Amino acid sequence: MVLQAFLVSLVAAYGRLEQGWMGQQMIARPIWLCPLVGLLLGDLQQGIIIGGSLEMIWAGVVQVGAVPTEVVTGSTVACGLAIINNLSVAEAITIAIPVGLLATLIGTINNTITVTVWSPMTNSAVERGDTKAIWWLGLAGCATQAIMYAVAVFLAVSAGSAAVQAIIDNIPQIIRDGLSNASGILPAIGIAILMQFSFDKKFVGFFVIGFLLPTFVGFGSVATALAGVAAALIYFFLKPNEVEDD
Amino acid sequence: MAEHVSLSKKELNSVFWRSYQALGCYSYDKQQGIAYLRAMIPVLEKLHPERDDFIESLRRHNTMFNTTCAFVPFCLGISCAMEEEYANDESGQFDPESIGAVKIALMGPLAGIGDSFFWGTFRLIACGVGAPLAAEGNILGVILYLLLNLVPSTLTRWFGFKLGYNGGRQFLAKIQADGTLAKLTESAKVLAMMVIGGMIPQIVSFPVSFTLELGGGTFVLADVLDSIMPNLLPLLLSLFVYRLIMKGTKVNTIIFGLLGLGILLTFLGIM
Repeated sequence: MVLQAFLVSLVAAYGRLEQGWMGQQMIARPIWLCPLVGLLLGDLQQGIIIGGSLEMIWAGVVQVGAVPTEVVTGSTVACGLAIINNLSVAEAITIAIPVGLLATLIGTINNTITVTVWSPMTNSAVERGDTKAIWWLGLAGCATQAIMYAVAVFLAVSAGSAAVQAIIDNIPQIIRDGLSNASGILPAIGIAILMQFSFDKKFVGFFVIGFLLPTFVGFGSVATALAGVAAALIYFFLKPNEVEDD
Repeated sequence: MAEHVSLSKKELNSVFWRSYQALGCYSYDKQQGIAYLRAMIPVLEKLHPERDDFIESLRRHNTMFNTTCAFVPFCLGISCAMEEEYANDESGQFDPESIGAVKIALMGPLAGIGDSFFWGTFRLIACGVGAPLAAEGNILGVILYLLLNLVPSTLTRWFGFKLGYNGGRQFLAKIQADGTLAKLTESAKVLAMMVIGGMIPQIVSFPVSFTLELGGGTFVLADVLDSIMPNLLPLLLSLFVYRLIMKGTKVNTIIFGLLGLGILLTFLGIM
């Protein structure tokens, strides 16, 4: 149990470091972290399934502006607990949501440390011309956050396992079915947040086509995306340039 | 400043690799500023051998900066070119404040473009393509997700840095003025809109189990809804949540609302 919790906490720390030290290439997400958790805990298949399902719900949760949910801890804790306790995907999702909400606190704490400690230290390193100190300081904020994530995830997984099992066993069947059904409708939130990014009235026709292709023609996700690329190319090459007037 | 100092591949590569740590020390006051300063050091050390000049150049970059991570190398490239120009300026015409001014001028528009491309398009396509496959247990979904994010991001970083160093400011001004940039952003929107529309039937499921015995036949609500249009409820629900979000409802409120709705509808025997 302790070893398993430790392995999960490593994935959480890696997730944070991916964002901070490895360029935030959008891969510190459930769909990549959960398979890693699965691999380390010996159930890659379940990791992939939970990762894909969580990704759909959190598709819209992005690190722009206020972060409503912290996906790194949320997905690693939920996936770890689900694999250790043999939970269903719906139950894993039910764990992930509150954990993700709670973990946003860590980010707030860490940003406070950065602004009160690391940032003033950088100012004085600049005045001294101390490039070595700046080298370390430029990595410090993310490092402290990764450590906090790892500790939180370790505690949650090692202490949480027994508690989670006890809670799950005592949840009435009707609530469990309800949560399972709810996990089907939750991805609507992800879609809605994505629409916030890209929705534009004049392109609503493309949205409709996108909806109709899987519904009536049976297009899969790859085929729909390729049709979208075709539509984008048509738009790009047929639309005349509108030169800005100065 | 009699001798001409020019940057070599060594310093430039070193700056490029340090661009990966753009979020290494994100703070409320400087955001990516500390990381930007850290990335510039190899070039500043080379260009400003005099201690006072060097410290002055560190101060210049110890400021607030923030943009989409994939565009950080582009900005760094421009800063490197400008620092080089400044270090070799013998006329005294070059105002070092312009280096910071260009950074500030670029970060806003680049964040706008970058967020819509990297968060709103590439990641979205990767998710739309990969997540449904992964949810079925197919590892191909994970691999596609990684590739669809890493390939565009890596190319943008590498070529963005080169372009930034070799006259990136002029290039950006040109594609902005002739309308290519606006068209590119709109084309990305077209693609994103289609992928989002296609995600609805694939990732939102609204299982309806309500049935009613009527005389001889059975009324199956799900069949009636399907005969109007399959995936009608997922579509309506997504549009409804979108409206809520546009009206300013908190995402967390909606999450708990939908969890409650799921339990309530299950309790009533509708789901």
